[in-house]
Amino acid sequence: MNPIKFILAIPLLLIVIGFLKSKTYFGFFLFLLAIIGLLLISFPDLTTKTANFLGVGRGVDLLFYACILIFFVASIMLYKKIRIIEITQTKIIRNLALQNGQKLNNPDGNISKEN
Amino acid sequence: MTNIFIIIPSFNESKALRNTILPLLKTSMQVLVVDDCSTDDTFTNIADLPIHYIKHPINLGQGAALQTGADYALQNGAEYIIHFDADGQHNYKEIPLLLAPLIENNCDVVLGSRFLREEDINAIPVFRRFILKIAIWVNALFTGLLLTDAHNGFRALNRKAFKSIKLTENRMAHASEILMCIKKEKLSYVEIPVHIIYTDYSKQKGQSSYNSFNILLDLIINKLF
Repeated sequence: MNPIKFILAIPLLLIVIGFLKSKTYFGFFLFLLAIIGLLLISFPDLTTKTANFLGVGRGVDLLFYACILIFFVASIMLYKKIRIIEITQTKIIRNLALQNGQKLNNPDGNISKEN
Repeated sequence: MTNIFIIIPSFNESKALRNTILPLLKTSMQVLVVDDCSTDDTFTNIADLPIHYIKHPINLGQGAALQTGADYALQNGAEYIIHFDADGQHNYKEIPLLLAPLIENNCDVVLGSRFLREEDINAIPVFRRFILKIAIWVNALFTGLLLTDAHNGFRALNRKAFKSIKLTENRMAHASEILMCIKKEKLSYVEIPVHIIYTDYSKQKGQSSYNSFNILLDLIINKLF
């Protein structure tokens, strides 16, 4: 069992749960990614050293694994945002439809008929 | 006089809707058509009938239409609501059977089931039957309720139920969401046998059995995230 598996899985899982419950962290998340990207470009040895430390062969492999996870998390976050938009849109449409609801040909007359 | 609303979500059911509504008008129940932005001549076909009519300005889905119907019924003081299909698959004579458990105050939700009587089971097209059997188990996994029929659109709810159930699934996953809400709100429910009439028209118009995979995806993503 390589340390990399634990390292990537558990904290990221916690991050996912935390981020997904909130709408405001997406920007921060992207910002963090950018910083990490810049760091890795400026200090290429960093990836190799980190990879070896975590039990992964090459820096590139580490980046690859990280990217898969990042894209997965980002997709879920975006999906959640879209879902919120969808729910809000439905509420607005519904309000509009309800306001314009019509009673055609005195349907309430049905009740008084029986009485 | 008990205030009962029959909610009929409808999308491009111009041919069948009028015939579905006519027998319902003979009862003392109120008929509410929620038109999910039909593009055919649905409205002109029913405009002369004594019904309530709401139209969604854009197409949202059957789940959204049912929720809109429930909100309207709530506003208009309804005590019970019935979910009724526009395409003629439901038998209006079974409505009193659906209402009975609610009126006797035995439960909050009555769910129709195609799998309680031989003659109802045999009426279901074979492939659909197979998909539904699987759906029952998948549904049980997500909702925690093991029913005999996971996706039956023939339902009756009392005010307590339709007041507390707020559907957010606009499309077909609403059927499972209703069950999840029943569990969450601790509503009591019962299944009763109903006969669904599969005509060539309704089979061709109804949802494809493959749509079940879309529903599954919706459920997984929304439940987990």
